Formats: sequence, C-alpha cells, structure tokens
Amino acid sequence: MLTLTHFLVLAGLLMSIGLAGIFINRKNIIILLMCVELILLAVNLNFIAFSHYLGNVEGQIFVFFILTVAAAEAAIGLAILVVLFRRRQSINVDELDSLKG
Amino acid sequence: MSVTPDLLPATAEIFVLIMTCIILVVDTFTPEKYRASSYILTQGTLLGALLITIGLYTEQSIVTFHNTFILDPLASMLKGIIYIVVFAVLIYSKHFLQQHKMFKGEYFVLMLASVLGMMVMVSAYSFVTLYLGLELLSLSLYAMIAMQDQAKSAPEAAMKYFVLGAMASGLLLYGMSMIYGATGTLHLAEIQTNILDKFETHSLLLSFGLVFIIVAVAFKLGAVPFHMWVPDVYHGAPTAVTIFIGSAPKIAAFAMLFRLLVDGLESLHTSWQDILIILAILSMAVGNIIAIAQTNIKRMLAYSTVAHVGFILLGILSVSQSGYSASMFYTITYTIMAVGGFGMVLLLSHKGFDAERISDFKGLSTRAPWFAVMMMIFMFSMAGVPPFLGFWAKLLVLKAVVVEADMVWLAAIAVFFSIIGIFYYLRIIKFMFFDKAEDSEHLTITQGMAVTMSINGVVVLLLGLYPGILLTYCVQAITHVIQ
Amino acid sequence: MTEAIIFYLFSTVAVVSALMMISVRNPVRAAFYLVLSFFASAIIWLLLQAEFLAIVLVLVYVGAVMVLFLFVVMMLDLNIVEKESGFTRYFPIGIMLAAITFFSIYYVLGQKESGMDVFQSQPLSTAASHVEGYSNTKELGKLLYSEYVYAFEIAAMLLLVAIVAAISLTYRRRPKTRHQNPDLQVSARHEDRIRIVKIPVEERK
Repeated sequence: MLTLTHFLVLAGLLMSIGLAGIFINRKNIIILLMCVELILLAVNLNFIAFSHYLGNVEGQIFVFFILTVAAAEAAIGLAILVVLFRRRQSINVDELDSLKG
Repeated sequence: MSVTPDLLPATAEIFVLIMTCIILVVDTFTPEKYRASSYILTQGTLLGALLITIGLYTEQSIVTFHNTFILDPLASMLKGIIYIVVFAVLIYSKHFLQQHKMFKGEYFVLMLASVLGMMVMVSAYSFVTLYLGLELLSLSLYAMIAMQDQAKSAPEAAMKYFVLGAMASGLLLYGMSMIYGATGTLHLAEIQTNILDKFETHSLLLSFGLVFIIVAVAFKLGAVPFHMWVPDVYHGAPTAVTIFIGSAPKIAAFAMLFRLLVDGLESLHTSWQDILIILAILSMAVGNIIAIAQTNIKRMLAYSTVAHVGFILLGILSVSQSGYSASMFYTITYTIMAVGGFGMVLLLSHKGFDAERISDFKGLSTRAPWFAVMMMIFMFSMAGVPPFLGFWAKLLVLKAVVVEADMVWLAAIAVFFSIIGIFYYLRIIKFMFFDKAEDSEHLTITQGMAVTMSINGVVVLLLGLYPGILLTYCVQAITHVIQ
Repeated sequence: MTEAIIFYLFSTVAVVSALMMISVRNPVRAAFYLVLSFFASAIIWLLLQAEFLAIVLVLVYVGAVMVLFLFVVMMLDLNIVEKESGFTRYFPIGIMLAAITFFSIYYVLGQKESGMDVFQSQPLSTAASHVEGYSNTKELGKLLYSEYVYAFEIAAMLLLVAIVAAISLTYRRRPKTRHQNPDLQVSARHEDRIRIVKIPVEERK
C-alpha cells in the first residue's frame, strides 16, 4: 500500500542526491546547474504529494510557479555560464580562483 | 467571493511594472546620445512610486488578491525607504556606469525589476508571492553582476552567487513544502492560525521545515556560517552593483525574515529563537574579526555587513514588539550608512581606476576635506560611536535583548564584538586624516553626487541627534502588524 | 498492487539516474540522465493525479530546459577532460551532508508524533476522490486566473527579466559578421541600383 511517506522519502532521496552533487561536482559548472534542477524536482514532488493527500490544489499551483521560475533561472544561469566561458575558456570550478572564498 | 480583486493597494507595483516595460521600449528606440533618457525615466519611476506609496498610506492592514498581498504600515514604510535608497544608489553609480559601458537601458530595466521584486517581497502575504518576489530580485541581481564588459572577476562572482542562491532557494522551498504539508495552506495568516489549532500533532514536521527555512534566509541575509558568498560577490561585482546589493536588498531580506518568522511562524518561536542566537553570535564574531584583516575596502565592508546582520538577528530573536522595531530601525539605518560608505568608494574611482584598497583613502582630508568628514560620519556611525545614528540602533537592539529576552550574556557578547569592530572603522579614519595621499589624481565629483553625498551625511548626523523621528515610525509600523 | 509496482519501478529509475547524473563526467550524458529522471518523476506525478503538471514537466523541462542545457554544452564546445583524481576534496563532505539530510528526513517521517500518522493510514487511491468529469487542468486554470492572478503576473515579469538578462548578457555585435539592414533594404530605390546608360549605337564599319 502506498502512503504519503513513500513519496516523501523518494523526494528526500532526490534532494540529498542534488545537494551531494553540488558539493561533489566541483569539476563542471553545467552539472552544478543540473543539480539545482534536481533539488527543485524533489521539492516539486514534495508539494504534489502533500497536495494529493491533503486534497488541496494550492500545492500544485505552487509547483506550477516553481517550474516557471526554474525555467527562467536556467536561462539566466546558462547565460552567465556563457559569459564566463568566453572570458576564461573554461568552466572548471577549480580554476575560478581569482576570488578567494 | 468577488472575482475582481481590489487593485488599488497594489498601485505602486502596477506603476513600476508598467514603467519598466515603457523604459524597455523607449530605450530601444532612442539613439545612443540620448541614453540618459532611460536614467531619468528610472529616477522618475522611483519618485512616482514613492508618491503613490505615500498617498496610499493607511494605518490598517489591507489584504487583497485573495490573501496573497498585504498593505500595512510596515510594507508602506519599507517600500518608501527602498525607493529613496535606490534613488541615491543610481545617482552615486551614474558616473561609474558611464565609464564602464554599463550605462544601458537593460541595466535600468533589471534594476527596476529587482525593485519590483523587493516590493513584492515586502508586501507578500503568502509563500507563493514571497518566493516569486525573492526570485525576481535575485535573478535580476545575478544578471546585473555579470553585465560588466571588462572585469574578469564579475562573471565569476555572478556564477558563485547564482549557484549558492539557487541552492538556498531550493532549501527555502523544501522548508515551505514541509510547512504546507503540516498546515495545509500557503497563506501566512492561515498558517499562523492553523499552527495554533493543531500544534500538538504536527510539531516535528513543522520544526523540520522551519530549520530549512531559517537556513535559506540566513543564506540570503549573509549570516555566518552561510556567509561565504558575501565577500566574494561584493568584491567581484562592479562597484556600482555592489552598492546596490549591499543596500536595498537588506531591507527586503528583513521583510522576508519578519513575514516568515513573525507573521507566519511566531508560535514556533521557541524553536527558531535558539537557532537565531547561534547565527547572531557567529555572525558578529566572524564578521568583526575577519574584517580587521582585509585590505580591500569592498571585502571589509562585506564582512562588516555580516557583523551588522548579526545585530539585526538579535532584535528579531528577542521575540517582542520593541525587539522587532529595534531590528527594523537597525536595518533601515544600516542601509542608509552602507549607501554612504559604498558611495564614497564610487566617489574615489575615476577613469581607469577603481578604488578598491583601503589605502586608497589615504590623505583624503587634503584631497577632498568635505567628503572626508562625510566618510568619518559614516564610519563612526557604523562603528556605533555615540551620538551617531549607528549607536542608537545598537543601543535599542541591546536594550530589547536585555529587557525583553532577559539575556544579559548575549548583550555582553554583542558589545564585546562591536568594540573589536571599532578598530577597523577607525583605521579608515586614521588613513584619511593622518596619512599622506598615494594618489594625487584630481577627483572628478559630479554635482549630483556631491549633493547626494552631503544630504546622506547630514541625514545620518541629524537622525543621530534626533533618532526619535525614525523610531516612532518603526514602532508604529510594528505595533500595527502585531495586533 | 499495480500502483506499488509502478511506484517502485519508476522511483528506482529516478534515483539511479539521478545518481548517475552527479557521477558522470560528460555533461551531455549527465543531461540525458537528468532527462530520464524527469520522465520517471513525471510518471510518479501521474500516480498522484497531477496530470497537468506531469505533462508540463515533460513538455517544458525535457522539451525546453534540458534542450537549452544541451545547446549550451554544444555551443561552448567543451573538451571532456581528465580522468584523473576522481572527485575533489569536497567528496567526503558532500556525501556526509547528503547522508545527514536524508537520514534526518527519514527520521522525521518515521516518528509517530511528527504528525505524519494522520496520513499514514490513507492509501493512495482513496486519498483524493474526484467526481466523474473532473479535470485537473481546468481546476488549476480556474485558480491560476482568479486567486493567483497577482502571482501569475509576477511570474510573467520573471520571464521578461530572464529574456532581457539572457539577451543582454550573451549578445555581442561582431564587427566582421555581415548583417542585413532591413531599413536600407526597404528604402532602396531602383534608380540607385540600376543605372541605365544610353550607349549610342555604333555602326559597324
């Protein structure tokens, strides 16, 4: 029998994988951007699962907006990536060292 | 249920939105040499929005758009401050923008879009609008940082800000989804009542969501240990963008913190108070100590921001009306001082040279004595030396912590770290008045910049002498929200 | 029973492909793994009766956003590099952080007093029952254009900002490329193009 917990645990798994990806993948910024998308996917799954079990459509509305924002975010992130690449001919995070954190 | 929502309370937002679109079109069809028209239109928009917001000021809370929008004295006041601050920011940065080929219509459109994002955040009364306003603000900021043509560090700073900011948004949403699951609603007011109704059964899920939300807000505010992006972004961004990031968005971040923790989740204050105490202590410690070691003025001001954020959190965590209003007072005064401080950095920059090192301030008293005095006022005020404005802000927050929250030890820690902080502010004053100038180039100070800087300095001085003027408004605004 | 099979099958696909995405080196492969993960998630959303959003996920995400990612990868012409050194020094921190996050989520959901027990007994199929002729799309559309019209407008503004930002960041006028100038093309007159020269007829001698 499938309960809400099943879906939330799945979302939690996807969320942790996305977070781990951001820390692990210091090699390639494009994959970093994909990890952000994965985190948003997990959040969306959470909202949809709650929305279904609460019988409340508002959660799905929020997901609709998150999808819109994520698309805009991806466009701007990739635009910055293109600018960065033109400037440095590389998108290796390790080489981003002119600013010391 | 009426189908058409009441549009009147949102007139300011609608006006800014329409003007943004108009500027976008006007800029496309004006030739290069009339580029200033977009600048003038942008300033006009800010003034117009200010007039509308003042005209709409009411002492009640008006909720419209089916509980997703609120107009209360707090929102009106914060919006007004945002317009004024951004207006000053634009005057300070005009010269810099022209020299760095950033004086373009897109820049102003993005700036107005971020102002709109801040307005939406300040007036948000539901998770949906809060999140959308936040994203509108951040997306415009990411793009503004990366817009500069020459600097190598700008796209890098933009990328860092982007990845960390997007991650923080993800965490914020995850927290919001947990709270939604527990309370079954996205509206802040309903969340508050639902929590009070069934607090017992939902506690763990709620506090779990709360932790994610606080982590995300700490990221956006730049509180330690989530402050890594602040110095890098302040340093890497073009100075004209740094002054913007360092000022108005702090007000919006305060509004977000207030709406989420106080308007929405105040009944969970026992859970969030402890987390905020840790964040505040760490921020004050790390900010003040690391700022001493900086040689770059932008990095130094960045760490000083981190320290000030610690104080803003202190006011909120005292969970009382006077604490909230002290925190609001602190945020507003900090913004006014920060605009002045970064404005001075812009004032020292001239063609082909960006003032970045603290030593660039050496001998300013001989090169431009009036402005050296202004900078001295800002620095004394930030350090919290009486009777300047910053002193009253710190005093009010500390009073709230001692009287309302009964945490004398916390106030003692705060005082200790702000005394350490005085050192690096005084160093700049020493450089300005007692050291010889390294750079003999004549300063080109435009008239608008000189006038604005003078007004800015005088405001800090006068508000320091009569802090009651601003404080009464802050107290009023908060009292209306709480009741 | 069928639902359980579908759930476990596609959640495995989603998780495994997400893991593959963060561990492969080649960005094109990573993008395809993410697409697979999106597809599997869309099917899980269908199980939760969010039909409209499941379709939007496939159309907008797989159809547009991921294609954008692939475009950028191709455009930048990245050379896929270095097999050396595996992951970076952040590897242990990343794994630890993920594990802590996951287990705290797992712990919270497993607790009796977390409030989850309200839902615990509810099976999927009876959680939300709809009358015949119910349309998820219609329901969302109604809300979107009435209660959430303000948010809807802000979202529109966000997309405008994305357009302005993306164009102003990446557009550059290259001096060497040849442009068309429609204004000149339209205003050209045939007198400017063809000159009719009268050549007097010469008689062959």
